[in-house]
Amino acid sequence: MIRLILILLCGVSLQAHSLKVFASQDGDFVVIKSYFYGNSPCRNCNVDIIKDDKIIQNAKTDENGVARLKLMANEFDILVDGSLAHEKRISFSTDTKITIEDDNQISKIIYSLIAIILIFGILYLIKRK
Amino acid sequence: MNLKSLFVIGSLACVAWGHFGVVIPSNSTIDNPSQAKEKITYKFTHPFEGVMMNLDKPVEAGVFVGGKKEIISNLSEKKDGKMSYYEARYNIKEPGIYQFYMDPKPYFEPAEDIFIRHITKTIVNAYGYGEGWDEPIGLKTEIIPLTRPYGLYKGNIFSGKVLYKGKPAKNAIVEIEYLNSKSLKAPGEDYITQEVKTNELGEFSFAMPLAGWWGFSALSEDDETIKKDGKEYPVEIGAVIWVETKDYE
Repeated sequence: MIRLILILLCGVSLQAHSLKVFASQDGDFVVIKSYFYGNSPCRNCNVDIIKDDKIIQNAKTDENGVARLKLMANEFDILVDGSLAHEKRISFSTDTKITIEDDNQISKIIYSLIAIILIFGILYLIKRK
Repeated sequence: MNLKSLFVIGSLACVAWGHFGVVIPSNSTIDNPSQAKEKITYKFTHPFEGVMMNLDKPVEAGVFVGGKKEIISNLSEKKDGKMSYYEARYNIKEPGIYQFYMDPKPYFEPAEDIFIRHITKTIVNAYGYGEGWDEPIGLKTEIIPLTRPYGLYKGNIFSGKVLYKGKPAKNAIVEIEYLNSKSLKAPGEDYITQEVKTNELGEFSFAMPLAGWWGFSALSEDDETIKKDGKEYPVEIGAVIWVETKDYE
């Protein structure tokens, strides 16, 4: 009986405590505010940026329920998980030209340069001997 | 209290006036950006009968949000026959409770030898913010909702508290009218303007039987008079609030 009452109360609180997500653009960033009805922030809540059913970015909200992420696409969904079955998904779109820096490409160039320097360094050391 | 004041209050109590200041947004709740470009309409009218009265450009129109007052200055005059009313555009960019208000130029009613000043407001909830709908915004007289003033269904009860100069207005008459956009007919004169009175705490309640916009106008005699043609006239000051009810879809 107690369990039933707890389940009922839980159900009521879920309805009366809906999760809200509001997203706005700030330059090259999307600012995501997540809060429960009555402006109580969704703190440390998981935020997924989803494009073509794939998670392309992930973050956690801060103490104010805010997450700030660099824009990586013109259209995507934002999914905030507030736990206890509080989940909210909204769509976001922007006309801003997105410049995506390919981290892998940059890494490859850096590693290549380091490798070249190392090879020449080793050759230099061998030549000196 | 002199005899003239007594006569004016007696008139207030007896005559079904039905003048209402109107401040109505295009949306009382905002769920997505497509609803966020609000068109605010400011009128002076008999809402049920649909009879327009002339509204001069309001002395002040604004919005109270996040504890701050913001003046709305982009009012444009519109005409309904010979009568003027105003519209303004306001783009809601952030979650919040937006209290739109107007303080009109007092209107002289020659039939009753009084000036009418209906300070009018309406409350919009943007993106489910939900905090602060019961905050006074510092108007000379205003209705503070005790019922959340948005997300209401047809048949819900609306309760409010009337403040005049920050204090509860006890035993004040609150006139209620439906904004009759459906050309409904009332069964008789007494059905056009409904009336309730505030209790000792300035509180009142009313159940709204139709879906649409409902105006609540709490009337007090102001402590100021207005001079016209060398004569001092009393002022009927009204605290007006508009709330919207909807039906299940």
